[in-house]
Amino acid sequence: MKYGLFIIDSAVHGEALVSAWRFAAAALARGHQIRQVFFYGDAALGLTQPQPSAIRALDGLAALAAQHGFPLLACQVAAERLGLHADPQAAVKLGSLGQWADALFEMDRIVSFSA
Amino acid sequence: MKPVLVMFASAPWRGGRTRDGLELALALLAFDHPLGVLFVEDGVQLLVPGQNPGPSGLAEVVRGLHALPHHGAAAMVASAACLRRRGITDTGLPVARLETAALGQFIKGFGHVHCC
Repeated sequence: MKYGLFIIDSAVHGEALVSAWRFAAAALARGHQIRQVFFYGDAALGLTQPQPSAIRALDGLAALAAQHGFPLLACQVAAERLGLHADPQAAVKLGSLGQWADALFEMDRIVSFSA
Repeated sequence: MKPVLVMFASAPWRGGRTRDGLELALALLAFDHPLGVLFVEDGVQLLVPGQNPGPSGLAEVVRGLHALPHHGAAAMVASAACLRRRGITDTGLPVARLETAALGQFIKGFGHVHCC
């Protein structure tokens, strides 16, 4: 099955990011695919003020993304509202809702993660 | 193409969740995804007419929700039970009210569900 992961709460407020990481690892281990991980709304905040658990989860997701070839995207509009700028070195790139909407055509199922 | 449901479950005063949901719905419509909208839990508070918009830009978001059918949203539905529980009788948006049993069937008609 091809999954898309949609994270809508930051790791500052909850365990959404950690849950997404664990879900991705479990799904990939069972032979499923991840097509895209999208950080929306407050989830972008967790990328600038990561808690220790979030740093571990982000590193874990980044490793999975590199190994399995799926993008980690943070909503550009949300990031701009939070004063974030693109970092070419970061594992999570800025992207648009359009990229999520486009990738949705290829996904069998989406899973949302909130606090 | 799988139809997508955007579910508003958060109260208008809970940060930018509603605005995020609206922008997501508009993006999905721009990519021609068949779209439905569902208001449940505290999300039905968005349907209360004549709310004080306050500083959060709520009025703009509510205007955007009103415009969704014009942009192509095929269904606008609210949980009748959630409305009743909160004493909401009039809604500022033209939504169909479904009882809980019918809501399950309605949601089953969508291939993807986003909760905001």
